[in-house]
Amino acid sequence: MFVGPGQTEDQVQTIADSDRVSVTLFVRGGAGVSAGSQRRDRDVINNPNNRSYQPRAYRNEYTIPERVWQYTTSIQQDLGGRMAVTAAYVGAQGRNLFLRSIANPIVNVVTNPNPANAALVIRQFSIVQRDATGSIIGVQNPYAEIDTKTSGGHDNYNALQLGLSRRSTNGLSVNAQYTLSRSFGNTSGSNEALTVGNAAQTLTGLRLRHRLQRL
Amino acid sequence: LSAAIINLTGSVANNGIAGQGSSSGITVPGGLVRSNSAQNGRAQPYDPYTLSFIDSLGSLRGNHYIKVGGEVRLIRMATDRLGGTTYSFQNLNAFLANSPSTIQFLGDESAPSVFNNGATGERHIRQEYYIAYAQDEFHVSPKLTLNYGVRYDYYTPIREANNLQVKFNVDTGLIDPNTTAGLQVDEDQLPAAIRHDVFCDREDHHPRGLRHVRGSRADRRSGADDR
Repeated sequence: MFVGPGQTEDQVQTIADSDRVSVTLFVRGGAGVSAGSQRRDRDVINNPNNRSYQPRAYRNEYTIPERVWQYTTSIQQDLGGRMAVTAAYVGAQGRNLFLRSIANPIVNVVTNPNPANAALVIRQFSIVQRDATGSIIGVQNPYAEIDTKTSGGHDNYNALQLGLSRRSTNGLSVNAQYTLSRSFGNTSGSNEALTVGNAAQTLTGLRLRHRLQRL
Repeated sequence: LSAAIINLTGSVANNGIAGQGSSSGITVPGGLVRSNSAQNGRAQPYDPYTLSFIDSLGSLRGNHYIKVGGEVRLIRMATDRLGGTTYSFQNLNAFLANSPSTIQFLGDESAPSVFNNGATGERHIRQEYYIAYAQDEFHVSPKLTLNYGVRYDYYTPIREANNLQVKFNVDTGLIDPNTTAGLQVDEDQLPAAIRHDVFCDREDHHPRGLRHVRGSRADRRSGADDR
């Protein structure tokens, strides 16, 4: 069993990436917009309801370590002529693997009061502005789409490996290997996790791989 | 454009850092490189080192060779994120006309913090590993030896030495302490004629009507839902 602390780069983002200003300006009518740092800092400070701040986030249930159980068995048969064939089964079970998702998914899209303008996209934690009749007249976004990380992913890997090797008298060996593998789960662990709408409940992975390797 | 370098394919600045993607897209002009999966910047310095204190003790007792040991590993890393400005253009003609569709400004991590009371400088990351093990090599007979043991690893959560981070709460939509209140939405600052509510329910994706406010003023912030 392999136990690991997870990938550092996945765990430092509230420290290394979130504590700074990020502003996207949608320019209409050409250039000439200043992107100076002091002005952008003021934009963020003075517009708490509509600054589209984009911190990196973790869910409270994010725990380490990740755990992987790996097991293998193999059999080798000498074919004569300095050749041998090997058949092996390799299996692995991953638990508490890294997952990533979105903290504030889009929850609604409504027609803009001015149909000539783009529809109003409402995210979780958006601030919806209404008129006296209750009709939506605008949306403010304190946050842009927030990437969220957690653990709890799983993966099930099974593989059949077939190998053929031949040793020559001068020390040179030739190997050919074929692997048929199947991985099933909702993540492949650190750095391989896909962003999904609800990573904790979505089964995303079903892959069948064939690999032919000759050396 | 005579002094500018236009890189239409980009490259990863430091693909030795785990988690970096392999494709940067168009990151220049602006002199930026791909910093991680989501952002561009001028540079992303890492300055890591580890200190390991390791010891073990072995003892031969009859047919047993018993070994116990442990390690305390101190992981330290100073880092910064140097951001920049990314200009995006709809097409080549817009680029030649200097007419960007969006301008994204990304500040420096070491610049005065908007969220942590103006803190400046590099961030200092801390983590410790505490490891202990015990094992036995048991010579049952001349033809049979048993090896067995246990090992325990404890990894502390990564933290910042001066508690400088931004902790977004994905359940409430709030920035949890220790960051400043400047990020939080104070509805008293909104125009009185505008009524608003905050979507916080993953199950009910329809507007819930007007938000009902109760509790102290401190609780009336974005995401501090009162349902």
